[in-house]
Amino acid sequence: MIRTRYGRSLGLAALALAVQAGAAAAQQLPPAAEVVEKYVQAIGGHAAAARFTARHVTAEMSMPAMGMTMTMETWTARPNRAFSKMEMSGMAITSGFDGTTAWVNSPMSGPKILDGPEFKQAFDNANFDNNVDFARVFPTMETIGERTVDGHACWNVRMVSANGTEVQNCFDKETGLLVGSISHQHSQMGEVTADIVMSDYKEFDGLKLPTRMTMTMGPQQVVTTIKSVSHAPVADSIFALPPEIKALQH
Amino acid sequence: MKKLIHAAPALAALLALSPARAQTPRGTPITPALAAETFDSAWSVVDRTLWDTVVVNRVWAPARAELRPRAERARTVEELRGVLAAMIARLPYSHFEVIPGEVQARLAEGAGGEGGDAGMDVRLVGERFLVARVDSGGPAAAAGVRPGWSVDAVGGRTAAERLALLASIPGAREPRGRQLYAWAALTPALRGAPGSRLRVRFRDGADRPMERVLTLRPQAGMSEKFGNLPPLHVALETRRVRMADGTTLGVIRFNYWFPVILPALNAAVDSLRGVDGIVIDLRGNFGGLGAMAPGFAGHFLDRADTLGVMRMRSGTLYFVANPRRVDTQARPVAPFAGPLAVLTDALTASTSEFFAGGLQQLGRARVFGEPTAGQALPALAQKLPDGDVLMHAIADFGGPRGKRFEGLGVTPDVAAPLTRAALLAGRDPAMEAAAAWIRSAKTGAAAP
Repeated sequence: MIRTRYGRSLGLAALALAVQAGAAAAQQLPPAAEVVEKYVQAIGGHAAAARFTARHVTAEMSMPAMGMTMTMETWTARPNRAFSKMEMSGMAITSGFDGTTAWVNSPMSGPKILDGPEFKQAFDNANFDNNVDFARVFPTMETIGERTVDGHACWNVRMVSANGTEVQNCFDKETGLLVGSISHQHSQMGEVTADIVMSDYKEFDGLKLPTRMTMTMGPQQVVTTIKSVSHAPVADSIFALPPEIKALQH
Repeated sequence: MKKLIHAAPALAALLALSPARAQTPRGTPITPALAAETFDSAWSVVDRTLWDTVVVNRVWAPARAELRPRAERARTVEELRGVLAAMIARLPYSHFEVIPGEVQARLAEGAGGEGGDAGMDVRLVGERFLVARVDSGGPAAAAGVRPGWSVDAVGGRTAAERLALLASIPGAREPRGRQLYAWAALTPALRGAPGSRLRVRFRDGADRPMERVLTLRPQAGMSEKFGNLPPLHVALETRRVRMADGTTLGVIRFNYWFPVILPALNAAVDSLRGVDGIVIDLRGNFGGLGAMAPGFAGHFLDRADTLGVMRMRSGTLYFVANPRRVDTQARPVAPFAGPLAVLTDALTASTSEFFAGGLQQLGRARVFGEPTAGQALPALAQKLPDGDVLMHAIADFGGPRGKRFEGLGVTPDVAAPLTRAALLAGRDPAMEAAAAWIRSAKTGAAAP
């Protein structure tokens, strides 16, 4: 009995210490707003982030394990228009959001207008401030802990968009830069976790952007390497719905 | 990116018996460090991605402990391949294969004689190689070769000698596997440099010996290099057939599911709108990019439906086919609603089994011919440190009603095996059965 009581007392003491340690650790987590603000300053500041109205990015995507390489171009414009084109093996897959309609067009699966979770995801991804001014995109943000991404200790911030889309972004404790992101990608095929590592930040017109993103989805890894970034104005016609999508609307 | 997950073609048989491999120099030195690194790379990728964790724990982990010391002792690339082959042979699944780097290189250069062919296709029927198809205008047709003739010898090697090669291959003991490996044992011999001459001994319909010299022509279709897979020749044929009673059939035949044929494949469906029935001939189609199957199936479905289910270690993905409501000219169309027949044989593998079996389980297509290969796992092809490529399955795969294809294949609704008598008579039993069914669907009569 005595042993049991002592044992229980020690156990409770240990539990109390653990709870206190946990509380202390929780207190040490910086507020999400602070983490995000440091990130915005690290990439060039609010003024740099806000002064552009359009962006054109060219990139190369590769699946090293399979020996496959694709080219990709994206055009985005404030507040939430986007168009992207990916080419592989002579096949072009396009997708876009004109502010109202989200769509994808692939010769493999045909044209499709997105709805449900796929629409929400496309809506959030098209936000020009996505991955730049997080506070404007995600009404809910909380720092939930620390983790290490690619050797970088980072603050892990859970973010929830107005749509309910959730992502965990991790910001380098030292530099403030975004180094990792974990999100659940929704499609008709189901839900897949995408774990992205961002690196090789470079400055484009006074704004720092990651030029290498390594995404792991299930057994596959996709490496995206940014080749060029332009902030010149983009013609509205880029975001116009293609004829195949218009045909689906009729 | 999920679209890039693909089902690799059933290359194992071809590679196991390919002349490119046979010409591989023996005794290529390898350092112990590179051998160990290559072994570790191959072992790790499977350990990380194999969906069957029971097999990982019971088979794969012990295999490493047992075989890594052998890999470290390997002094040549060939010895190491032997160790890797022994390791992956312990897995009870298809789509695991080490593709030698030099095979890749030779095929890429066209030095393996892959650029030209004889304009005919062969199948093993019973214990004889039969000419199953002669391309009009091709070298075999020009030499008077007819379907149903048997092939007795090619390039100085007899059919019996080629069949004897199969004795040492475990996968060739099962009837469907035997057909697959037999095809792989003979077909490469019927290829070579365009313009080169190939001496072939046949027996005609009356079993009389016939010797023909075929001048090889450039292979039809397009050469496609898809990722780490060897270059493959992709061909598609579309035709519209009007039968005596006025019934019209549209026939689409292709040999691989690769993006290079997508424009032609979609245009083929457009060109056949209005026919009474469509026949998709997947005999001899080894598969390819898995994501193409639901996309193509969308031409024949009037509502979105799941064509197949892929179970990975990290989750389950549903291959949903969406109705294709826009044609290649961006005009609104309705998906083809008429009878859809799919022709299969023992060389119908992987993505082709997924397409045929998925539509069969959905009740949208009727399958005619012979049981398929039963090699239907989605796979990736990873380059190894020593330059070889490891093809490895990453998921289990089943149809929309839960029935798996791996090891089982797709069983035709109407069995219509190839026979020598039918071939000699210029008949195609599977095509005839499909045509009869389409005709009966049009007239409302019971299929014969």
